[in-house]
Amino acid sequence: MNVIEVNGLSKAYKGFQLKDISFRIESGYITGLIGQNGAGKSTLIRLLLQLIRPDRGEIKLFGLDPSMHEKEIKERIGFVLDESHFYEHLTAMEMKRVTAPFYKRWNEASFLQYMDRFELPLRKKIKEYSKGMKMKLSLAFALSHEAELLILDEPTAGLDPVVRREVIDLLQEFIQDEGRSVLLSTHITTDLDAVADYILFLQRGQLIFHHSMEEIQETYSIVRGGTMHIAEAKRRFIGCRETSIGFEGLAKNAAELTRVLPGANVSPATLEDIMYYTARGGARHGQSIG
Amino acid sequence: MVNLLVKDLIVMKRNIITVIPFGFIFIALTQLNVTMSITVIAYMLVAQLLYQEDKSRTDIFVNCLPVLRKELVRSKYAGMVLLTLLAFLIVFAVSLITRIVVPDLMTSFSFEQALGAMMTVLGFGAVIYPLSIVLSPMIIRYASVIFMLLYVILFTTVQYVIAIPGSPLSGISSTEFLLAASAAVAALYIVSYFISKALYERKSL
Repeated sequence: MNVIEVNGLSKAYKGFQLKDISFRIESGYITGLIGQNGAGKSTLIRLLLQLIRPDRGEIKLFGLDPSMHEKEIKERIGFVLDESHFYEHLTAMEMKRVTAPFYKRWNEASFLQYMDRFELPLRKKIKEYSKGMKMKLSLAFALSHEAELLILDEPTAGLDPVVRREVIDLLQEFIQDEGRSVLLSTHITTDLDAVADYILFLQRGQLIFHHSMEEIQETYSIVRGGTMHIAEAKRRFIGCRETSIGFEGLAKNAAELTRVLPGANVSPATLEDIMYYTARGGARHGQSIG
Repeated sequence: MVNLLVKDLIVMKRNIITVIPFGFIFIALTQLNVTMSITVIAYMLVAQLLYQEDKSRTDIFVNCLPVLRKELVRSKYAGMVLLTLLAFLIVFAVSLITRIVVPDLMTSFSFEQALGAMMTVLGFGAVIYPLSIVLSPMIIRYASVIFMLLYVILFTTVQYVIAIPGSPLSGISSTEFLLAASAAVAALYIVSYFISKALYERKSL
């Protein structure tokens, strides 16, 4: 079953446009949404959460049209936003009293368990929480109403490595139950290396690719070579930079490239490499290179 | 919608608790001026209800919950009525206590005055809430002050005109004037609700 289905989605702002985005996310996987700051990740997430309306295109969540089944869909979504939007003068317990009645499947025991696990004081005002604590509180709310889909916008931004790891571990636990899915937006791509099954890559409002991690590892490589092949590399690579001893760049189908660039060294590309070289070279992922 | 009203009451709990002793002080300072007391107390509560989402953009959080935008708007309009009634009850209770504790003090609690005050605050909410959907919080704060000033000028002018013998309004009794004004505010409130609903459903958060 497709948990998220997006067709021809567009949204324009002054100076920014999300252009004709289409993809499908199947149930049961963690999908990482990556892209530079301003690539359109938050806009896409806000469209999925019905916080903004699209100019064109269609969104379906759990196979349902949000304009007809908004409440039913939101019941099934756990959300974590990029900033704290809590009533910060309330304590966590008061915030729970405010939030819980909206969910038919609110699980009080589960909430208290998460609060205990995250060592979050129930009677402390949220404004006195640290950034990491607020993020954990968001996760406790998102995980306490038996959500089937978690939508997280930059949940690890600004967190220390220990908390980041805890968040990632928690997502892995969440996905263990069949039929649960996660859409996780981040520009800290190393967070995704261990957990993501699929990657959606946005660049300047356009969807560059939606691939499985295996496909990405098979398709993209970092190629390094000597100065004599720089011109050729620049022409054929997605993105390329000159180094003191030659060049380094991101390429698709590197095995073929090594035939025209003899002596080049090929290594697997990380998500960070893909983002970096795409930003340098423009979006040429769709072109046949090699 | 009940969940949203309960949410607003929990979020405003401290404001409501603060307003009660303030109410006592204010009522004493104005020598039990019912109109002034209800207007100020209700204004403080209603303004808080309308502005509370500005801090930390809590409207974003609320809109991610299983709730429809039209329900959010409806709850704000119902909340304004509820808080205005609460202000009325606070002033009524203080008047009653004062009569019991200090029987010699001349106090008069007029329901006409109370109605006038409540209608003033609801009129304020009816104008300010739809504006707050489309304008920035800073502009809305200025607009609120301008609204209250215009209200005082208009109210004083009408009172003055009624008092002039032979003026077109001189034949109108204060009760008739109050009923007409209340009907106008009620109509404004209903129109305002539909405008707010249309604006909020289109708003980007």
